[in-house]
Amino acid sequence: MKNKIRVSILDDSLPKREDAVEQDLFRTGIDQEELLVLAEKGSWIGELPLQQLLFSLLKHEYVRTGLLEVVGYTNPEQILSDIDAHPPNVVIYDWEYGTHSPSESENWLLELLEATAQFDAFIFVYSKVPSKAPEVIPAILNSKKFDEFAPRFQLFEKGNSNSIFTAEDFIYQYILTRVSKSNIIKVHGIDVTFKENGYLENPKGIFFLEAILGRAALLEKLRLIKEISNESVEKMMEGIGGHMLINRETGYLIAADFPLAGQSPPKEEISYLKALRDFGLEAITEAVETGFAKI
Amino acid sequence: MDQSAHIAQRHCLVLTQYRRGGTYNDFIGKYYHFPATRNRNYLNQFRPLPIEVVYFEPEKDGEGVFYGAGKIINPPFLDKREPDHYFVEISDYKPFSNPVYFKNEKGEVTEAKYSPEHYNYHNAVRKINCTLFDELCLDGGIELNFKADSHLVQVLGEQLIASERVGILELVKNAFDAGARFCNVRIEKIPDLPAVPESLNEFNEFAGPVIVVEDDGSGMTKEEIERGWLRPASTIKTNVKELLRAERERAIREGKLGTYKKLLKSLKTENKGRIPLGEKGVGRFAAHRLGRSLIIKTKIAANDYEYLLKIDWDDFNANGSAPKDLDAVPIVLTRQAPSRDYGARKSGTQLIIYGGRVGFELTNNEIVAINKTILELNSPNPNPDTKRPVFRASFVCPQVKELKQERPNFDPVFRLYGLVDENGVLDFDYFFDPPNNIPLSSFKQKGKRRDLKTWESKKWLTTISGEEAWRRPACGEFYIHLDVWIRDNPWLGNSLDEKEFKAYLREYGGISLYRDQINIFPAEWGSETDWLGLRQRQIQQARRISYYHMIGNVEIDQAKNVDLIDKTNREGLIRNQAFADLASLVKAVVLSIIEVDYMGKRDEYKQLSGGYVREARQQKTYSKQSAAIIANMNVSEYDVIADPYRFFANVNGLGAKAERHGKLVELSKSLKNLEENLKQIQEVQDLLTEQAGFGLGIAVVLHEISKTTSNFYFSILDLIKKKKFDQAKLEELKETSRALESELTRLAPLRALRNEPPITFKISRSISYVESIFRRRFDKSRISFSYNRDQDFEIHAKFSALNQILTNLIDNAFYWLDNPDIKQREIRLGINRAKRTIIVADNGPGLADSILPYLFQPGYSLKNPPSGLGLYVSRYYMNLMKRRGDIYLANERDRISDLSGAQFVLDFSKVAESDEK
Repeated sequence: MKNKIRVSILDDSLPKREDAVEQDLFRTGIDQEELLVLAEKGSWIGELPLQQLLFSLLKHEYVRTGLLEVVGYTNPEQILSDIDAHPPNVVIYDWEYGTHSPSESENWLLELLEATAQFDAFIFVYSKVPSKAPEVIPAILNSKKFDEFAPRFQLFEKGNSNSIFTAEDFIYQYILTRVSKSNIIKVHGIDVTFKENGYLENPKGIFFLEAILGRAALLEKLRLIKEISNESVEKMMEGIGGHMLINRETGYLIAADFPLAGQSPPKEEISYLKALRDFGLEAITEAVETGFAKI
Repeated sequence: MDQSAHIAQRHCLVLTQYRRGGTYNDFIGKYYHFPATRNRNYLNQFRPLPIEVVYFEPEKDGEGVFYGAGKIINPPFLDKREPDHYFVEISDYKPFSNPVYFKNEKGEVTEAKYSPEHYNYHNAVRKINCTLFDELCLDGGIELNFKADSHLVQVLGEQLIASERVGILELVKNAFDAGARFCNVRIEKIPDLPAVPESLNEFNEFAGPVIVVEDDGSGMTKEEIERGWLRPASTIKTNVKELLRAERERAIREGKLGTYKKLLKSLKTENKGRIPLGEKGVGRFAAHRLGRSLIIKTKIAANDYEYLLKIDWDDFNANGSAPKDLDAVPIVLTRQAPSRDYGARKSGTQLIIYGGRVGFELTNNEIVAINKTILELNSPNPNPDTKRPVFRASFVCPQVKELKQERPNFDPVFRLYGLVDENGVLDFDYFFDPPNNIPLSSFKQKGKRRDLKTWESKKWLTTISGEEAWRRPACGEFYIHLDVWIRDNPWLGNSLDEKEFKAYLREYGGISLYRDQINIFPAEWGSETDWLGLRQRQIQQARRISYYHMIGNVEIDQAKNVDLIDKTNREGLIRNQAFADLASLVKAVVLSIIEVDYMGKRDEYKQLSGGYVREARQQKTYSKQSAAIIANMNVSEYDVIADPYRFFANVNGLGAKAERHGKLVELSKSLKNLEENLKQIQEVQDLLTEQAGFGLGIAVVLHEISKTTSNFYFSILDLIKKKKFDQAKLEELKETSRALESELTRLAPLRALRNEPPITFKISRSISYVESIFRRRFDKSRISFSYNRDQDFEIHAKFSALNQILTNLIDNAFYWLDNPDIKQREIRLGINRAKRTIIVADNGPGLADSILPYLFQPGYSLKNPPSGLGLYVSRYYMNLMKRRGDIYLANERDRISDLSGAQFVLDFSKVAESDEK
């Protein structure tokens, strides 16, 4: 059983082709045929990752079979006006619009999250900012008013390829998964079968593995194993040399190389595999990244 | 430690006394009469002191009840009429509301059961254990009262009066309330300051420091002394304000403000034209804070003598552990012949406070501060329309030389004054008057009007019966006067006077609050707490205005601003809605009117005096022209070697005369290179401008970031140095880091148009696109939007550039139309094919004069918070269109006649119609 999904792409850098302007195309939602023309013939200088994402989506067979509908907008006001007529399941929300201020982007996003709550739409906050001003957007999105919407949005940096997934890869995978519940995901060109397992709820959990193992090591393992399952995750953890520490009195899982590890005895050693089985991937990731995690 | 250890051992007695029929029952609760004969001697029972007693009436001829309790503090004394009998004084007697029967429910005698060690029925005076005593009092429902401990005087004096300065100010305010025309304050014989010859002192007979406060007010009557002055927190003054508040609310409710004004008038007549300033009735305890002893001499016109009241505050200190009641300290009131000339009014009050107080020593700095406080007690620039009796306060301290007798005064660069009415609308006069050495022309704007609520309109908009409406400011009407200086040289130079004035501004600049012309909120209090948020803005952007650029006064009136209430410690006002509204309106005056010109005139002068052209585009043109002139000269018939017109005199770089031709060619080439360099600079500048958004050059942003970062750095250093967490400092750091964040956000790669290729399109396409973006907001705010498509024309440009320009103009119009006073809201675009222009017009309030000179300069906006592109960048995008477009304010001839608001012309007359390639 497959789901029918509507994706709204909100980005003011969609190319302004002369014929499209003449047809007043940008006044309202742009349908997928027109978007495909823009993707193929427009000028995408500086916006190639977005163009690639559009291509991948629009050329997918789900579009042809009507399971996936893609609509483009160039301003948040337009999608807000159009929301009743074309309720989206997924929104790709560009953070920067012309010269509007961050507070306007913030207000629009809030309004969009509220307006799409009834459809349980997921919103990708898509921006060029994060790596240049790493504290700015996260600070806004971590503020209290976004708390109630936290499960429904995720920030991604446009064209960022410093991770196991590029932002576009991830968005693409996510959308396809929502249509088909497909269990094949693409990670750097490798088809990996994602099997339901106790450690990772969804492919996003691969980020935990990346944080623990490192990107190169994870890719190497995925190339060999080609699946994510209980067994494969355990195998990956088993393969990590060394150990972690655990202080059962205070309830902390501690990275063995954490400089302050010596300060709170008594501790016992625990293998990564055991830590995985006892406390899960998230706790290990937190301990690896920050030195310790409350368990 | 056990609490009971603090209290001395208790002694309790039962006193037998019939309530009726006896010789001494008239004395119940006052004196107890008892024998001390050989057979029956109770004298020993009455020591040691103090003793708590309970009265008992036997059942034999009475009701068998305990019926009241009291205390014995003093020893018994002999009854002179009846030998071997004594009296003992009972104090603090309280009758029981329910007399207690001497037997319990089981018929047992309670004393025999619970105090058997002392009980002997035959003894009329007998001990009783304290527990039973307390229980009898409780069962009897003893009637208690609050008792003021004499320590209260100290608490009020030292804790309610924040400093010596505030203490003296309180006493001066009392003089004002007494209708005085003057109040002289004199401080002498300060032990820690160098002494002066005795002849310079006037109060040598008292121990120093001596503080004398004297006025020519109405003086105090005996009743006022007894029922007012000697009753802490008496409601004599407080009642006036409560009454006013209640009456005013009632009058507004019933629409009878006339009645209220009548009441006000009669109140003022009673108080010599004033409404009393004192609010809590504790100002008099300032005298306690200031010295150990106090003498009050006060005379009313009707008497030919003065009252004399002497208080030694040490008498209020408890002796040992026994508490002392406030009313147990005797204060003697006498009269004497007038000790000073009471002048024409024949009345007044003099307070002589002396002896000082440990821990509150007066220093040189404190005296200077007191002088300043008194000097600034009166408003420097009161509302000229208000007539009030003159009140002047003066200060003398012979030990501190050169106390300033007037506040420093320099002609301000900007001056604004006017009345803000109950609806927050300012009627004002406004002047710009630069010093003579500044070559800018002055201006005078008289009778201007500005609705201050439009500055931060969201704060003021509310919904009444479903309709959007303005909320009325809770602070009431007030008068404002602002003098503003530009601190840079040469606006204010570096002469000693000027330096001193700048130092004064740094320390005491800001806006003071005067109530009935008396200073209740000195400027520096507001600056310390950043009550208008100016400092924070200036931390973010150094070019903005702050407290140390201004001296201002806000004049409020007791009767019209009843909700502006002093804090109990007299250091500022309670932060309520009225205060918040007052701050918002004052802020609007500073930021929406003066700051714009403050920044603009300063920039204008910098441009004029800088001697250089900042725009690379213009520089490029100059170097191109210079290169052409030199090249032309070189190939012309002019004899460059002989140089008859001495064009090349003093140009040493040209070398020997014979080499001049060659050198001129080189110079011409260099200038061409310079032109190339400038072209590159210009390109970079263009790129930066485009990237910056908000109309601010990226350099400005970077400058602000570096400033903010250094503030942050030094604040952190300060915290580390102090090694403790200072809440205020942390708050400041939080604010600073927020400012940094906001600056960083501006660096976000705003959607540059650089990559978008120009296309040929009808301008109606852009208008219709922008309309689609605003449609929801237009509907919500009931704004009608229209344009005449029949005059459509084509341009060849970047589609998004025009979209952004139009978005910005419409966003501005939208902001100004969001005003409940405007019922029919309209934005109209007039397209003119023949002229190739679009006029963007609205029926809002129009542009304020103050912004006009800076409309297209970066960083100026009358919107708060600034939003959108800024007209500077709009103009930049217009100029960038091939063969140059432009944007300017529509002149009268071009305006759409039936729309009153701002109108901008987008001029595409030179912009290409199609791709010229």
